[in-house]
Formats: sequence, C-alpha cells, structure tokens
Amino acid sequence: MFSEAALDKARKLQQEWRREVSQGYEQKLKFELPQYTTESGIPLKYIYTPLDVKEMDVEISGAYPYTRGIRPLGYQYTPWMIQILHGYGTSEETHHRTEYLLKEGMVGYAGQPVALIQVDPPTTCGYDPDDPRASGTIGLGGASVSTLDDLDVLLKGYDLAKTRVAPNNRFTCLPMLAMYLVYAEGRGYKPQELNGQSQNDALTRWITTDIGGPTPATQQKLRIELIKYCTQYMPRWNHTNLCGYLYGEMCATPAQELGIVLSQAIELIEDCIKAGLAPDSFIPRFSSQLHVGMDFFEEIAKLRALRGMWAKIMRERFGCKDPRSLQYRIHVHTGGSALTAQQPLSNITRAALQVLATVLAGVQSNHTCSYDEAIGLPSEDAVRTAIRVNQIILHETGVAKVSDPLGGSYYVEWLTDKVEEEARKVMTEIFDLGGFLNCIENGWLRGLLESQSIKWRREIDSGKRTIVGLNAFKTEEEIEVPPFAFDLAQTERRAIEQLRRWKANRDNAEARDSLQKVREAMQKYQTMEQAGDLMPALIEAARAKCTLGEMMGAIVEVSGGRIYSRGYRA
Amino acid sequence: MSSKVLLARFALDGHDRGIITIINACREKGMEVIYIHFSDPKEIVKSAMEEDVDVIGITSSMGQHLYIAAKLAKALAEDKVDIPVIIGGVIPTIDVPKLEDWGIKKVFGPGTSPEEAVNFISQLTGARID
Repeated sequence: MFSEAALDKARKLQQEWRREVSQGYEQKLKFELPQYTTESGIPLKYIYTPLDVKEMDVEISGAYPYTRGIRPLGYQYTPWMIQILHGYGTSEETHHRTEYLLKEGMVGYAGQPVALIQVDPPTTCGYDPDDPRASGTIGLGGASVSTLDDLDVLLKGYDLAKTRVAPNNRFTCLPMLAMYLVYAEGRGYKPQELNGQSQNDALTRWITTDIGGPTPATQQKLRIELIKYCTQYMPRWNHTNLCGYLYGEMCATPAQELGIVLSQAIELIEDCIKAGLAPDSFIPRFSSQLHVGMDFFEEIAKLRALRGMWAKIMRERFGCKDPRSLQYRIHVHTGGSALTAQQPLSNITRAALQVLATVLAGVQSNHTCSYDEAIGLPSEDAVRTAIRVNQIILHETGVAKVSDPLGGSYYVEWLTDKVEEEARKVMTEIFDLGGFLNCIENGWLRGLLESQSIKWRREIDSGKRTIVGLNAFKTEEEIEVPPFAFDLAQTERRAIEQLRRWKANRDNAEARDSLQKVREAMQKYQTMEQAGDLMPALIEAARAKCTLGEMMGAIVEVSGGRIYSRGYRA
Repeated sequence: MSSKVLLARFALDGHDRGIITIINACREKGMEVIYIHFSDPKEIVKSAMEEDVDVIGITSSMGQHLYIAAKLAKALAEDKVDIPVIIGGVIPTIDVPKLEDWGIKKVFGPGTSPEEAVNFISQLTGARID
C-alpha cells in the first residue's frame, strides 16, 4: 500500500514525535500520559501513521469484502431509511402514529413508506388481550395485534407491494407472518409481492430480557420454518434480522456484539442447510439490527468490520457465490440506554452523534431514539425531533455526499481490523463452549451480559465512566419533559371488546379444527430436516380467523416453555 | 440480623438490567434477596407473607407503575399486610405524588445508583450495613 520511502519517512517522523512527547510533555511538563482504551478494551495509541496499516488492502465500495460499503453508490443514490420503530395502544393509535411519522419524514428507499411496528408485550409473547396474563400491559410500548382486523386497521390504505412492513415480534414472528400473508391475500396480494421484514430473532431477547416462551431449541425450529417458507414463497421478504442491539443495551462491548451476532448467524445458517436450503437461496435475505453507543470511532469501525466479516464468512465458510449473500445490510438502532432522564434535551445531542457515526459507516437504515425515552414512551414532539436529527445530517452537513469518508484513515482502518480481531476471539470462545445455542442453554451468554451490566453501573458509581448530567455536570433544577401517557385501562377494554366481536363473527368449529392441525404439524416437527409443514398449517388457521394467541398457544401446548428466561438451563 | 428483600418484576416487562444491578447490590450488602415475577400483584403479597420479608421492591420500565401500585396497595390492604414498598425504573417524576399517596415509600427514577436504593432499604429495616 505504501512505498518503502513513505514508510521510512513515517518511521522517522514517528521517532521525532516520540522524542518530542517524551521531552516536551513527560520530562519538561511532568505530564503523565493517559492510558486510553476503546469500549471493547482495545488499547489506543495517541496517533496513527502508515506504519499501523502497512498491510491494508486497497478496497472500494461495492466490491468484496465490502468493508467500505455494499453498493458502488451509497447515499448519493438513495439515503438511508429513516425507520422509526413505533407503536402503542390498539392498532388504531399506532396507525395514527405511523401516519404522523410518515408525514414528518419517516421514509424507506425511493420515498416509499415504511412501517416498523413494535407490538405490545402480550402480542410479542402470543397472549391475546383476553388472556389473564396480558392484563396491565395491553398497548404498552407497542400495538396490540391479535386479529386480521387489527392488521387492517394498522395497514389500511398502504400499498403492500411498496410499503416495507416490519412487525417487531419476539417468538410470535411465524404466526404473525401467517396472519400478514392472509391479510395481504384478502387485499389481492400474492406472497411473492410482499416486501418487508420479520425479525425472527427471539433468542436475542431470551438472553437480554427476562421473558421466556418456548425453549431456545424450539424457538430455533420456528425460525428455520419461517426462513424455509420465505425462501420458497416470499423472495422479497427479509426473513431474519439478526439483532445485536439488545446485547449492546445489556452493555456488551462492540466486539462482543459482533462476536455474538456472527456466531449465532453461523449456527442458524447451518440449521437452515440441515433443513434442505442452499446457502445462496436464503443468505441474501439476512440483515442485522445493530446497537450504536457513544464510542464514536469504535462504533464506526464495528459497522465497517461487520460487513467485511460477513462477506468473508459467507464466502469462505459457506461457499456463497451470489454477491447478494456477501453484501450485508445493516439497520442501526441508536442506543436507548445511553440516554438519561436527567437533562433530557442532552439526549438529542447523543442521538445526533450516534446517527452521525451510523451515517459515516454507511449503513442502510436507522432508528433514532427520542430524547424522552428515559422518562417514558416517546411523545410526538420527541419522535419528530428524532427524525429531524436524520434530516439535518442528510440535508445540512454534507456528510452523505461521499461514500465511506473515513476509508483510508490510518486510525479507522487500524481500528476496523482490531474490532474484527476482538470479535473473532469472542466467536472462538462461543464455539469452544459448544456454540451459540449451547451458550444460551448453559447460561454463559446471560452470565456474560449480566456481569457487563453490573460492571457498567460500577464504573458510573465509581466515577470511572462519565455520563454528563448523571454523575457529572448535574443541575439542581431538573428540566421537566412532560411524559407521554395514554389511557391504559380504556385500551385494555377496547382491545378485549374488539377481540370478542372478532370471535363472535367466525366459524368456531373451523377455527378449532385448524388449530388441531397446527398442533399436529408442531408434533411432527422434531428435527430441522422436517421443517416445512408448520407454516402452511398456520396459514390455514389464519384463514379460519384464528387469533395470534390461539396459534401461538397451539404451538406452545405441544412444545412447552417457560414464562421467564433467567436461570434457564437446558 | 440481615434484611430480607422481595424484589418483583412484572412478568411481561422484560427490562431487567436495572433489577439485576439492584439484586447484586443488595446481596453484596449481605441482604437476602427473593426475586419473583408476577402477573397479578396479589402474587407479590402472597410471596411477601410466605417469605416474611422486610421490604418489597418493584421494578417497572414500561409505564405500568401506576397500574401495579394501585392493585398492590389494594391487595396489601385486603390482607392487612404492612410491609414497606419501594419502586424503581422508568418512572416520570410527575407520577411520584400519586405513588406516594398509594403508600409507596420511595420512588427511584432512572439513573439512581444501586447504593442509594440499598441504603434506603437498610434505613427502612433498621439493619446495619457494612
């Protein structure tokens, strides 16, 4: 990359620089040099030179290994998607919020609408509103969706071939997709026309939140079933979004986040191959949702490293030939846990820096947290401001004019390699312990994340880590941001009433029979090789107007499961 | 004698990063911690009586704190149980007076240090902490 003469000059300059630091600062000024590390614990130098990137390969965006970007043109051709995850109350309230966000600038590729819908806790676990376990959380932090009617209220008026619909569920992605297919069918759409996303990564939530469900091994089967169905019938649908976000929220370092995501990707792909799928047929529809915290350059390096690592793993390990299998698409969710309830307007600054890092790293899509999220669910003003952060970066700063603007930076290129190196160590550790699923089942991953969270808190309490407004630069008078609120009890009553009407207007015998077929299909689904019969049964059940809770209930009746995940050992 | 604390999390509120640090801090101070999940606040009262705890601590991060506190206050009154209750999590300051009206002894909002909560628990129980 560099000529011998250039490297010689760098060596000479570096020696002079060292001498000046030593004589001018350490000896004359008695300055004690600080020891810096990144969040992942990578020790930093004070300045980087060509000597640190001697081995750097010449790369360009749109070419293997895609570190610099997956397409020849980046934001010049199409800006990143501003996909704001949203939802609360019944599907009616959520629909209003979707409309509001679209009006304010939430947008997908080529100006097309996006609907990244967060569902409420009962929906995400497959409890209908009339289930006693759902009481008290209906519509909280997400939309209550249990019937085709609910989907209609959410999505009426949107062209489903053009709207990127992405319901954000835990382990209920499979019955939710069945319902969506039947809803779309009723509106005249064929499966192959539908364009959107299932998260299909319940295991990430099993280890990062304390909510259970079917056992991890069963959840893996549900994921494989979904991927198999989409690969056969829904070529435009993004079947799996591997989530690193929640590891970041549990204080995993950037390198740990990549290591966990990639080790789970490898295991999932191996299971898909067992289910009879050819790598190039389904790998192109993987993508990731990553966390971006406050370590600006390390987060950029992490996103660049992930693209390169993905491409190399898919080519070398799985023999992928289709370039789409190697071009990894990334959505970033800015770190909600970086936000403070104290001096909440400071959170706009935090979000702006996180989005800037995201954009400098050239990802495809971004969700920006609202400044009031440490206080409660986001208000309209706060979500609009989150969209504005993106628009200011896109339209005012000019940073989107050039692809991978930090490519070739001695520091960023060095750091990108270092993050990859650290992430590979995490992957090796996980594989040495028996792989991702095994590390869930033996409690290792959960233990790692819990100890990271405790460590983070200790660093704040000891003052080792500074959070402005929380443990430094505090104010006596707190600025009050009014919390967003809605009528929880009324939402619950309405949701239950709607569900009652839905069940009154269907053929209950037909619904019961179709649920029996779901149970039978689940019973027969013992190994990954047997994937493929459950989804058709669920689609039939959705046609018979079964609810999300009934379909998930039928699956869980067969598979069993747990209410919470903490302390689980296989 | 060491204090015995019941910490409870609403089953469908998956946010447990806060409560993990509290469990850890309590145990480090030599307190005995019982950690439960509940769907109905009556389950909290039942556990609290069975385990004979000194303090009940609830975590809430999704905006269900008023719902839980109201039901818990009623359940405690019905069973004539007099155990102090504290609550922590994502709770807007505007809701604090209401929670205090329902008998919540103290509300710990976002960013509270675990030490602050642990110190308050030991004050409540009169236990000496190291």
